[in-house]
Amino acid sequence: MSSEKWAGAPTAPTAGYPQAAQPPHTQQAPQAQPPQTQQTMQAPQAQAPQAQAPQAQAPQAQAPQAQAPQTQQTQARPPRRIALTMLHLAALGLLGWAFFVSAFALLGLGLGLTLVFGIGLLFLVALVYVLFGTAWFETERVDGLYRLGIPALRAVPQRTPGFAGFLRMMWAQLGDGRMWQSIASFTVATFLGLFFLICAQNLVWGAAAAILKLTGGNVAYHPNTGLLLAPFITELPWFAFALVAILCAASMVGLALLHRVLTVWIARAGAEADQAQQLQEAARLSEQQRVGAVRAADVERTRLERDLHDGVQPRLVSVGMTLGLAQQQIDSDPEGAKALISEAHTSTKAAITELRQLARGIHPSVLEDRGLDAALSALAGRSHVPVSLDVRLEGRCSREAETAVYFVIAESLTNAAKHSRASEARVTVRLRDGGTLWARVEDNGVGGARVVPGGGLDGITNRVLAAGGTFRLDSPLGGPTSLEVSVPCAS
Amino acid sequence: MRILICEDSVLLREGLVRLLEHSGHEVSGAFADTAGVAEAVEQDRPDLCILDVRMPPTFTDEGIRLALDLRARHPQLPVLVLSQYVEERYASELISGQGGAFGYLLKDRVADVAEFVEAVGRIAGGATVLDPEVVAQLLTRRGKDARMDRLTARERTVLAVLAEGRSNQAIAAQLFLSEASVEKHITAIFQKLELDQDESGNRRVLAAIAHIQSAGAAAAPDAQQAPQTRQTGFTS
Repeated sequence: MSSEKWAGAPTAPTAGYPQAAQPPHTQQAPQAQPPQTQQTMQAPQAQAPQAQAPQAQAPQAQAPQAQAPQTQQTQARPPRRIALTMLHLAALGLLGWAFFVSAFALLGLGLGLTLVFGIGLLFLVALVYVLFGTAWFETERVDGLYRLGIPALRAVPQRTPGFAGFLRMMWAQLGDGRMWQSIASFTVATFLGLFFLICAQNLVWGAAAAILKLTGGNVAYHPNTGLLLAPFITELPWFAFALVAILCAASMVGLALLHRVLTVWIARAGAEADQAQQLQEAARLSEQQRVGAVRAADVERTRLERDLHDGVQPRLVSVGMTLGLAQQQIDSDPEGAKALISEAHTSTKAAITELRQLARGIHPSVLEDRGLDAALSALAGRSHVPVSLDVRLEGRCSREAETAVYFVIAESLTNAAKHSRASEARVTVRLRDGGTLWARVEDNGVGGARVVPGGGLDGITNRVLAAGGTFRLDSPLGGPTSLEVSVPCAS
Repeated sequence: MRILICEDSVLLREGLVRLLEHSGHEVSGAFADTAGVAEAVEQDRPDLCILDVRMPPTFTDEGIRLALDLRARHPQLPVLVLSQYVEERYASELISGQGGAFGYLLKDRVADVAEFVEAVGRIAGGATVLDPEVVAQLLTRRGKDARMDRLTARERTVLAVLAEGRSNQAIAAQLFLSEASVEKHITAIFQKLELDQDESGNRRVLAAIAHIQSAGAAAAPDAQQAPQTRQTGFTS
């Protein structure tokens, strides 16, 4: 066994199946369907008294508060939450602009250079990443601040392999509504942050001016003073400046509350839209699975019929003919009849073997009562290409998952024997954490395997789709070929 | 000798009865499922039981479970398991279970009447007979035992045939070797695998099989060919 020909330890496959759609936030029955939070959930009773508190403090915040399911984590107490919001606003007011600057710079570079060179594409891709990153950050920020229990923003998965698939994914990401909602939320928060910083500045200056005037300090106007009433600093009495400071302090609290109302509203709308999208996605996927299952069954039926028609049937017909001939000859030429009978016997045994392999291929019963590992022994033993098995499975998976993976391996080995001219093949099967049944079939053959409609590999893809899994074929011309498949273990 | 048959297909059951009676044996009972077989063995004390694997009610591994059960209760009773497909896992269970001689063969082998009857005789005489297909499967299971790597390709071929339960004479005939060189090979195999030199007959097969099972090995090229093209006692 030459070990350097093979890749090393199996790498984690890229799982592409979606998570279950989040249950919608319903106002009627928040208890029945707790939203899945990223943090640990607490017992619902613990929050009941807490949830009432903010309403007394902040009447504006009633709308979102009323909607908030009572099953959320304990929120920070209102004064602390407002202080936190203020910190957020200050930070965004200072740093939020970096995002806009970089986004517009990338957009400009991208568009400009796309017309000149293709390099612009790189900038546009970077722009998509910046947009998604910012949107993700915003979702997490709002969710972390107000404990909404909203699912994290997820990137659009890549559906088709290769560079074209990557670009398609980028395009789909650009059209992701929830991302743009988060960007909008970020923009709103950044502008609020800017106002917040202006208010903070005026608060500081106003308070300073009031105190100086009260203590009989010497105040004079300077053009760089960042205070609203600075030009009139010498004429106006101290309480005018104190009023500015108080108004600004009040606006800062007001901005914090406004921030809450706006961002929560956007986040909720986004999450709801996201759920609708997820439901659509789930529907699309299950449709894909259904089509896959139907097609897989069709392809197999056709092949079964062909195998019976081209293989076993003519053999049995020839056995019948040979025996008929022997029957005619048995009196006139007993020796010849003996030879014919012996020939019929040989053909019969060949037909039996063929039927056995055909039947076993349709449904290996050992797969059900002893599992995938046991069923693979016979596959490896029967394979025309020498196979080394490396199977490590604790426990069993669902019948669908085991069957799908079994047939993928069977078909891959058949393909390797038929087309690859490989001298050895290797089958690796693992149960990955996260409940994924993962298998890889490699051979050192000539490569160049492609999925052809109605062919064996087409059957594989359909089976894997039907089981809700993913499948990756890597078969460059000249080989080696490797096929990886991941199927959810418990479906 | 007296043979008990348990096989759900009427055609095959009747065929087996006819075939065995034709070759001078007595069929003490023919059952369509596993119900009542254990009692019949208690009462009639047959010299051999022939069991099908897939039988009602679930059509999965009834025969294997019955065989394990019978072998646990009557360690001296030879059992021949016949199956539409052979599975290395079932063979391993039979090997590691209690009891003495047993056979595990494909149903296809019945078509070779003379050889099948001969195999029945050998199992009843205390030999363990495994179908070449099972041996091929056992050989493909890879293990972590470096001792298997010490064997030459020729020695592996000999070991594979040995595991089918054949005598030195039969191995020599099958591989076109002299008996002396077969003995030399077997001695070398047992030395390399660090097995007890005194093992003989059935125990020798079991030792070899148990070893293959525990060690596993990349199969020798010969064992990797499609079994029906290999030179075994069951090819035409």
